[in-house]
Amino acid sequence: MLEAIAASFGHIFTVKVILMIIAGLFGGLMAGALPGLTATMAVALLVPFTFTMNPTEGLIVLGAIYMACIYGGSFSAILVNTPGTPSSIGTTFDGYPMAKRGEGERAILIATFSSAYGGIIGVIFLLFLAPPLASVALKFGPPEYFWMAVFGITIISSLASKNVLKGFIGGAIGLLISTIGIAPIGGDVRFTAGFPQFQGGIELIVALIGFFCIPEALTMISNRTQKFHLTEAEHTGGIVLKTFLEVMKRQGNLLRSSILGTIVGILPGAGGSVANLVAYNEALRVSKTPEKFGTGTPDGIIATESSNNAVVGGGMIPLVTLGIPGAPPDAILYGVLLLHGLRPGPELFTTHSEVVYTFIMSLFVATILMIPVGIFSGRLLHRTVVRLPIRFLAPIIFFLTIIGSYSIRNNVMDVYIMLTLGVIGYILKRLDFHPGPITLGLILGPIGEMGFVQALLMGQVLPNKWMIFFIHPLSWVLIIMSLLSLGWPLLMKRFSKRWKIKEMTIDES
Amino acid sequence: MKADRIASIVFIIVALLFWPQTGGLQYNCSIFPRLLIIFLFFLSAALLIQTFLIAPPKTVSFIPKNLRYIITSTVVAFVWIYLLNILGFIVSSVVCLTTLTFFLDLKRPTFMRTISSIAVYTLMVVAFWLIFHNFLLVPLPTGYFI
Amino acid sequence: MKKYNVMIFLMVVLVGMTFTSAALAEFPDKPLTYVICFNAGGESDITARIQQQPLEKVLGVPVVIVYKKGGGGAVGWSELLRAKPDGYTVYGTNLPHTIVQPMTRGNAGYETEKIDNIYMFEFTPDILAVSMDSEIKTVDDFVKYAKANPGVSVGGSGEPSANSLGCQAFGKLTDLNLTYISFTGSGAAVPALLGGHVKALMTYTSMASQYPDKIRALAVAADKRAKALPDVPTFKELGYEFVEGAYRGVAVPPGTPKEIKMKLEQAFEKVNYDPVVIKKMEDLGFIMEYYGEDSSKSLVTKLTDYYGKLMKDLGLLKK
Repeated sequence: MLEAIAASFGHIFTVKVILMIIAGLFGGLMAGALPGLTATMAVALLVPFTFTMNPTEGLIVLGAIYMACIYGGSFSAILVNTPGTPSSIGTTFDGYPMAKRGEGERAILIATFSSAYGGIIGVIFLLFLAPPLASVALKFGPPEYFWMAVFGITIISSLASKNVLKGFIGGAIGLLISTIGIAPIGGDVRFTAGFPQFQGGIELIVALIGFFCIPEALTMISNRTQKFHLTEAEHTGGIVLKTFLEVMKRQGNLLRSSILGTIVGILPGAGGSVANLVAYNEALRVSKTPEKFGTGTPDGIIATESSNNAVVGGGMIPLVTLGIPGAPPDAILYGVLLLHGLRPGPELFTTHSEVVYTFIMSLFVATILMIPVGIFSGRLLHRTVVRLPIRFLAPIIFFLTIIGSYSIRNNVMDVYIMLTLGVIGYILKRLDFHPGPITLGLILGPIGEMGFVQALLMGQVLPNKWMIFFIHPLSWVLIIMSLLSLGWPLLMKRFSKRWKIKEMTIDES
Repeated sequence: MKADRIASIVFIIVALLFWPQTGGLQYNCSIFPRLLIIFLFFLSAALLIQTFLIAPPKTVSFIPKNLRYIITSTVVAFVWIYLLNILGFIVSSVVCLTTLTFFLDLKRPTFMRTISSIAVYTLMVVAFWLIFHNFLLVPLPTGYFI
Repeated sequence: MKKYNVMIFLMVVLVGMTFTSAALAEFPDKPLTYVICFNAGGESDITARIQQQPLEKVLGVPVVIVYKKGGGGAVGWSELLRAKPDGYTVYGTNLPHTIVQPMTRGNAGYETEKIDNIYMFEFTPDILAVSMDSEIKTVDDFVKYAKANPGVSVGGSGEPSANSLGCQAFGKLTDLNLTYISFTGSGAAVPALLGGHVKALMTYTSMASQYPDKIRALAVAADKRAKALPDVPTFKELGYEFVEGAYRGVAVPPGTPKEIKMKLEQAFEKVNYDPVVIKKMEDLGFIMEYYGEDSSKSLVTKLTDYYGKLMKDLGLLKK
């Protein structure tokens, strides 16, 4: 393996390849920052360009695009409170408050370093631990996917700690909306009110743009007398180094979130959208200052951005070892591999080891190069957004949402749905129902329902089909995690009150 | 508090609206939505009860500032989408972008300001159009114009 | 007066000529859009990508692949019927999906007869597969196992689909109690098999080609053995009258001019004879087919009868 790694450096460190990587990084960044273009779409759209390149180069470019796209989603999350990709939903929770305080540049830098860290960790796992980890992925069957969805929903109790009831209602709404369309098992048409256009259900991206972007634009319009959207902090010199050190100090958070991201990436069917929220939840749970989450604490951004970039490497683990994509963009990479006659699987490492190792090592290079590219673009974007008056920014946001929602399926209906959901989302936001839990429900609904019904079918061979949810040990791990996740915030509230009382009495005596 | 009360009742109605639609479905297709509807119903009921039990804290008014502007902007946005297939992407976008900016301007817009807005927006929209249409080969809506 | 009439006549002729010449302008002269009604990275995507470059060479214009997933393809196909019939957009179609979906759903958004398939280019038969380390080695082993364990789980892609109907038809044929579990695609069914969550798969030959060391194909549901799987017997050879599989093709919106349809049909046919395309497709387990527009129509009619009867027997008809 080491000779292959050494050989790969020869292929990567040529002017042509490095330039291609940088081009891919810029392209991926912009695609990621644009709400509506997901990493999957960006990779899919740019596949035809790789036909003129040899397979290795093509994969390298696509890999760079993918990595940068996931990172780029943080830009719009931080600057306009709308995730550029579903993997950055959690970045809005703390990134945006920081930007509003005038710390937008700092937030972007934190996201940059965290994304690079997470990306590297994911690729390290890919390089060294792919085969054993892949077999873990196979152990996840329908019951486990169901419990994973349940675990995901229980995160709401931490996210919406101020009003848990409203959070869960939001989650239930999201879950219910996800059932519109064709049922995954059985194929019946549900809740379409007779419109065939709704058979495809509500696209996640359409809802994402609607629930996050539009309320933000409308809020800006509501604040139209406030000329600018964000305040600009004084430009302190040396902020790059200072933030780098600040991020690096949080090794616990970085490592834990990256590993979580890698694991979620390994699971086929779950990607960055799930990973960033799970990591956020865990960071909140173990933090000594959980109340700071949601107000603009660096730990929040570190958790979400490192985990979502770790998914890039993690998702490729089942892809290259078993030929099973771990995350949606990997399905496209799978197609590209097949197209070039490179069949994913153990033979790939032996018969085409050059291609594989060059690709993996290029991911390292791309992730590192992502840092300067990102800092440059992020600062530029931040300065532009800060200087743009609301009367330009709000219409431009509308413009971007229209492009974004149209380009998913070239369907004007999606744009209408996006705007309608946006208005509903704005109303809900005013009522204190935040978009996070709703989108979480939308993401987890299909995973949960599929797992649920498939498991019930699997359980037909058992005396009681409901037992299927409780017989695998892996299911129990997830059940316990869900209970902890659900109960923890409530326990913490009670404990912290007791601690506070104890501290007060100690002080007094 | 009143807003919460109305919201919870709306959600209960939503649940009640969805339930009958699960009637004609197979077991496999109806079980998950039904569990969700029950879940939603009980949560909304709990919220409704909560509004009666807990004293309302000082809440922000539900009606946002500058409501007139919000509603008009939303209407313009809907019209914009409608125009996409009639006037085409570039024309309808430039028109609606300029309209919104004009409308949201704090100062009285002068002729120069409007012209410069139109120019800048045209450049921006055309740039996006070129990237999407020629480079990424993603078709954007066309109508009588592009 | 007469001069006036002559002028009008000449004008009409001129205008008429311009319009006709516009219509006769060389088709195609701008990019062709190839719509895939499924997810990117899926099998329809892969076959389209294999065809993309050769098509561009034959037609002389760029071919852009666009995705419109939803409803198991129904969202794309309902749009197909309302699209502009200018020949610049073709939609990938699948049988039996486009036949059975309207049969089981109240309103699928389209009708089978309205879909104008101009070319069907490949066929993927079903296979019954188990994990390589399973104790089941032949179809008879499987039948024995299923009789001893009623309700045994068999995974596959989609419902209703060639997999689900194949599983149910096979179960009826052998009088077995099989539980079909549908997954969002063959790519999702395979991990379930490998992880031991389902006992067998009623999937496509392409899966056996893509995972040769992980999946054991017990039999192929075709008339002849698959070239990519020469050692796998057909169900017929083993005594089971069971043939099932999925066809893939392209269609144009209704009302497309005949000359344009012929040009597209010829282009796809030429691509289908391209040795590079053939090799890539067959390596991945796809079987080449060569149905032009008319033969596609007869194929659809034949299959509609077959599936209508099958669904009725299985009790799956909605209407």
